[in-house]
Amino acid sequence: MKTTLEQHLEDTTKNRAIVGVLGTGVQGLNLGCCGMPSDEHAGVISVLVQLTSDFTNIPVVCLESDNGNMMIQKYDGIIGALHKMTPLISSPTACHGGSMLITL
Amino acid sequence: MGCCYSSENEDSDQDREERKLLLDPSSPPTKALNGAEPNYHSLPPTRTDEQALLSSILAKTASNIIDVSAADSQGMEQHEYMDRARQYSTRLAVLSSSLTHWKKLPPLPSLTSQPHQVLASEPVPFSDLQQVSRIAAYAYSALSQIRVDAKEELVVQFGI
Repeated sequence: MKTTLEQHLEDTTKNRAIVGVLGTGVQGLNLGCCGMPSDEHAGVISVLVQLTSDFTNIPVVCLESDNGNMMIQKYDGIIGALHKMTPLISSPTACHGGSMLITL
Repeated sequence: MGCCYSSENEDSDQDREERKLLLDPSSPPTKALNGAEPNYHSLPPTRTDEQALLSSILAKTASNIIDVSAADSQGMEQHEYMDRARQYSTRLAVLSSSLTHWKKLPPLPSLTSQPHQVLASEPVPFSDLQQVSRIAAYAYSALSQIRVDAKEELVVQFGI
């Protein structure tokens, strides 16, 4: 029964620009992940979406960085997180320190 | 699935230590139990592999089962209750001091050292936002396929 969700996550990461994908519940329980973010980040990702959404507006939470963006979207009980590299950069570069930006 | 900090890694020694019962169940109880525990020591010395496997399964199940119906629920005396509470708190204090796994907070990946450059760059493409919405919607539909499929009775009777 779980193979459909796992296959969907694996198919998503076949795109070279996608670093990882993660699905979690509203309680922060990891439902499936592939790549980066890993299962340890499920709780943090869930809380970020809970803090920014209300009954009328469920925005897409974007974490922008030098080499890619992480987009988090809640859909009716499941939270999907997609880590995608920016199009102009072909290979990921290490980032050291700094701050984390959140755009809504 | 699991809690926020659970993973699919194998159980470490610390996890096994955490799951061990606080009080040794093999110690003799203070009052006699009314229920009869299965006697699996009466098998002949020459046992087949099947009998050995069955007896090991029975032993493992018996060690994991807490028969609340057989326990004498008349209540403990006050001093026994206080002793056991003190024993539990001491054991918890010892375990909590050795818990270091929960203190490590995993950071989110991909930080930046030049925030003004990221702010001045192009915004997130709308196609990417649509893509993540599509992925979340498809994951929700895939998750709805996970359901309980009852195949047999949940409550079984152990043959004694």
